[in-house]
This record gives sequence, C-alpha cells and structure tokens, in this order.
Amino acid sequence: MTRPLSPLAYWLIIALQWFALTIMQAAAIIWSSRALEKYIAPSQSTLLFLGSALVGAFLLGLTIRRGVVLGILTILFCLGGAAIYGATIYSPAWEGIIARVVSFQNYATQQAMFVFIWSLLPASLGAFAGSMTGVGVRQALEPRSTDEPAPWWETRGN
Amino acid sequence: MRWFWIIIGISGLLGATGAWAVVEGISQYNGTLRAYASMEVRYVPDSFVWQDPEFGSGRAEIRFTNGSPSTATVEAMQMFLRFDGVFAGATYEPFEAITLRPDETQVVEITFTVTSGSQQSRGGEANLAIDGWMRLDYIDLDRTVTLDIGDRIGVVDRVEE
Repeated sequence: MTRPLSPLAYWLIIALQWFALTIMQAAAIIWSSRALEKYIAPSQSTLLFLGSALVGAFLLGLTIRRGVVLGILTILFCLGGAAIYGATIYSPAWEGIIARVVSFQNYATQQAMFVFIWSLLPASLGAFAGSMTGVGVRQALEPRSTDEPAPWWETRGN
Repeated sequence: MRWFWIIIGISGLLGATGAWAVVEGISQYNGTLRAYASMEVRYVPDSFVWQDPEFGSGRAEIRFTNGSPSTATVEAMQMFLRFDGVFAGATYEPFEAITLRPDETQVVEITFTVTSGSQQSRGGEANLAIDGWMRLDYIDLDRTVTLDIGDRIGVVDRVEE
C-alpha cells in the first residue's frame, strides 16, 4: 500500500516533470533547428523536436488528469522550449561575441515563434493521446475497488 | 502509484539528458560563432590626418584582418568619431564592400566628417577614438554577423597639405 501524495507534493512533482520535459524540448529544438545547423554538430532532423513535443506532452498527459491544467502546461511546455531556443540564438550577443542589434533580436524572436507554433500541433496530439492512455494505464496498474474513492486529482473540485 | 513514479522517473531522465544537451549546444554554437567573429579591425597608427585646418573632416587607414576559418565579406560598416568620448562625427560616404580570405589583411582608407558644431573646434586637441559596427557575410554561414568595432587614435593636429 502506498501513501497517497498530498496536493502540494503532487503539484510540486508535476511542476518538476514539466520543467524537465521543457528542458528536453529545448534541447531537441536546439539540436534540430535549421537556424543553428551550421554551428552545432551533428545537427539532427527537424523531426526530432516535433517528436520531442509529441513525447513530452504525452508524458504530461499521462500524469495530469485535469484537462485545463494539461492544456495550459502543454502550451507552456512548447513556449518554454521555444523561449530557451530563442535565448540560445541570442546568447552570443549577451556573451559579447557579436553586436546587440535589433535585427538579431528580431531574428531570434522570429525563430522562437516559428518553432513554438510548429510544436503546438504534435504537443496537442501527444497531450490528448497521453490523457487517453493515462486512463487505461491507471486502470491496468492501479486496480481500484468500487468502494474506494477516486484520488482527489481525478475528481472535479466542489 | 508505481506507474506515476515510473513516468516521473522517465521525465527526469529526459530532463537531465536535455540539460546536458542544452549546455553542449549553447557551448558549440558560441564557440563556432566566436571563431567566425574573429575579424580584427584596427586603426593604423599615425594614419589619421585632418583634411582641412577647421577640423571639418579627416581620414584614417583601417586595417581588416580575417582571423576566421572562412572567406568573409564586410558588407557594411558605420564608424563614429569621438572627441574625448563625445560624438563628433561619422563616416557618411557609402562603404564599398571588401572580401577577405582566411588570414588575409587589407587596409582601407576611411573618411570621417565632423558634424558636431560644438565639438569641431576641439579637433586638434581632443583625444580621438573611433567606434561603430560592421556587418559580415561568411561563405560558410547562412546569415550575416554584426560585430562591434572600435579603437583609439589619440591626439592629432596634423593637417593634410
């Protein structure tokens, strides 16, 4: 018998999971983006960041049952990955390697927006698939008797 | 609950791998760009000379050295002339693009026009310095790189005859 998690502990763990997956998404974008392919070796196919968005959101969908929270965290997952990517493109200007010019800021922002929008589609599919699969996984791994109340996160707040 | 911890564990592992990949990617990107950005722009000592005794314009020789591993074209450049750190003028003539192979050096003559009326009379006694930017296009890269440039000239009262 496992002790149930407190709400605070549960959301802290979900926040850590979101953070870890966002870092993974950022790494996938950095290593597979066309904007950095001349600078980083070995550059990967763009399918990597699309796949990472799918897998990351799928894992979030497995652990988060509330649709609204899952939706928000999925969007933030894509946004966080894209923001780290944009900051990476602009990092040589912060390092003083190249000049801080507006055109370079615009370039970094444009590239980040581009991957953010492209990540949304696979992430949406992944979150939906994860949410659906999560139900099955829970039923398979966590058989619950009919008398046992559902965990708090599986019930709507009242 | 076991499934929950397995998924959290997988997420944590992916995050840890991702963190390493982010750091490595940023390091590679900055390292590569640093190598390409090693275009040296220096004022050729004692080359500055005023073109008129009223200090309205002057010319100087600027030396470009391409320390990058790729052929580079200086597409555009804007330089400002400062008297004791205060803006006094700039290069207003269109810059003619120059191309340099790796390790190649070229010297280009640049004309500065003093446009600050309040500063102009101090031309012969002020400490001169130049700064600005240049935009480079490298054969190996798919986008241009803009670099800050700058150097000290010193006090110059020599007027061209």
